[in-house]
Amino acid sequence: MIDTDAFQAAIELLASTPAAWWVVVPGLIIGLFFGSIPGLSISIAMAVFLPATLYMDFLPAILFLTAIFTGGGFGGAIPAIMMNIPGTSSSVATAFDGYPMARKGQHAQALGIGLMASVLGTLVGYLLLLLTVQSVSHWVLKLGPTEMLVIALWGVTLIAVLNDASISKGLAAGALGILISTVGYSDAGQMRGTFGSMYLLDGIPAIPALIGFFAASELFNLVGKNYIVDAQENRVVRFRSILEGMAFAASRPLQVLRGGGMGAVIGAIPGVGASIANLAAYATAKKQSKEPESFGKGHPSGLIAAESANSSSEGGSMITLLALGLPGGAGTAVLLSAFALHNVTGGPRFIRENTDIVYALILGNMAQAALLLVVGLGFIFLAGYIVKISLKFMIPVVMVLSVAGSYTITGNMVGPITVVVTGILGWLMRLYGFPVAATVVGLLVGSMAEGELVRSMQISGGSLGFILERPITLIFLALLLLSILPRIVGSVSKWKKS
Amino acid sequence: MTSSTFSRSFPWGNVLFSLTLAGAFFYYAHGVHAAARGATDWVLVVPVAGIGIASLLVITGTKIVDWYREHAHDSGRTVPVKTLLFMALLVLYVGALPFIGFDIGSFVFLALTLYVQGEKRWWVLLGSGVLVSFVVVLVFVQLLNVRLPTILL
Repeated sequence: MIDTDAFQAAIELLASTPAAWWVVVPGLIIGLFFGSIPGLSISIAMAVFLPATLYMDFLPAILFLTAIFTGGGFGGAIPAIMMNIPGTSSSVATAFDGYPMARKGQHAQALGIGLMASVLGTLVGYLLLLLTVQSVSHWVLKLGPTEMLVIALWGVTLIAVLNDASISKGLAAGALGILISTVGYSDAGQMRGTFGSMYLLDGIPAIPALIGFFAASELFNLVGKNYIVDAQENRVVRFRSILEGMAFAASRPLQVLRGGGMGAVIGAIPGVGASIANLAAYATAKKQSKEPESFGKGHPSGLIAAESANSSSEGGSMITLLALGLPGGAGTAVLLSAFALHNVTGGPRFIRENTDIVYALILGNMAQAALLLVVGLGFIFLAGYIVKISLKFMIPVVMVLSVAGSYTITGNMVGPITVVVTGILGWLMRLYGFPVAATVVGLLVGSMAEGELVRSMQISGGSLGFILERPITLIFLALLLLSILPRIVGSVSKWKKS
Repeated sequence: MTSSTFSRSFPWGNVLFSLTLAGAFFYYAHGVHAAARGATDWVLVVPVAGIGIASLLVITGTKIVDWYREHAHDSGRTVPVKTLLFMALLVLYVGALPFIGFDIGSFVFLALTLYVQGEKRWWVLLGSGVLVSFVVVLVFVQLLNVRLPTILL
């Protein structure tokens, strides 16, 4: 599984390249900073700092960018936990239990749990990469459009069905998200739902919509309240509580391994990545838990699952980047650009001829995860002080930041308008008990689902029998049904009893 | 706290919201289907809208049946006036941004929302507005090189 000669050469390479280490801490801080500001994504940070790698050697350049990736992966958890604003789409599930924990005054523990789960998740992801990088390329190539379609539908269905609201509300909310994602020009060139506005030709921007559905709608609910944490005695930032949270996550290795394993596998699928990984891991953790009803109300296991999965998906996405030269998402697309800047092309040949560099990249990233523990600890200690700020001040400031951030993403007023419209829609949905998360997931995977559906139709000639010839699709479909069946059966029997 | 109550014995809010959403789904799916040149244009939109409409009708039906059987009251949700005012100010802020810029717009929005939330000290209103809008514009325009529309800064 591991080429020992190449492994030894990789250690020597890392030891003899001090530049590879100097760039890690700045990279982590940049990632934490960008990830923790709603509207600024990891990919923006990586793209902004990509030109800085031009004069670096290949190894330090990639390690610098992956440090931003690693830091940003956890940075997104900070606003998700403290303000219910996922800084990135991969932190959506982090907010489910992280924010309720913060509201109960357990913000420091939640941040500690998030940090430790993130670090361990990253290690799990890269460890799996180390063990499988040479053999996995064959497996990934077997995934076609039907498999990708089922995975996308799985993401929406899981979150639509496995929530505290009724199944019909979950399905309606998921459908709303998918329909919103189809606004604009379709892959086939049809203009849909633009009302003749050229600003909507590219569709409704996902991140501003995410900010609106999650952040703005929650901020509306908080208007009139004094602090995120109601009880004054809980409004403290204790270093010890952060460490307790970290120890808690470290004492749940099985939960970390489960989340990390799922994250790495899902992250390896191009186009899916961390956005689905954290939701799938969360849904699985909820299903496996002895107290599933407490998920969404501040259950630490939900936080561990979400953070370990989204962090390990980084390692997973590196599998396809290194093995196939395919970017799994926006972040790895920037890494691919860095590869091109240094005249390097990923793929089986790259792995075969430069195994020592591949191993050095993996080991360097594992070391980065360990460093994130130290750098992130200082960062979250400062971030914890958010609970001391009066909501009266924080709500308008966060709203202005969200509006400015959304303008940054779209470069025009479509971003801010999207935040307002989806914010009000999200607030109404919360008011009437619809799960906003299902809409957001539908929004994130909708366009991918449509693309894969169209491709499946074109390949199969519209015949459903085509699916029977795809065993992996059938396995994924079976898993999808198995994961939602208990909830449906439970709901039907509950309805019959009532 | 002054509140406007939306709750009635009949769950009007929930039913109207669900039916409006179902209507919007139908309108969108119908528009896409009518303009489609082939199945690939509507293959996702129409079935998903169908699932959405069916779910929303189930929600509406369930609410009405529950109300009819048990005369169940809507859960008595009240919407604080402050929340509605905050939303109105946000709509005005975003609507006015292209004309008054992020600097002036953010300053006015911050001062007014603070006032709506009960802050009456004029120096806090003005000071917070100036400080936050200055820092936000500075960070986004100078540091991140984002071309936010501004008037003064």
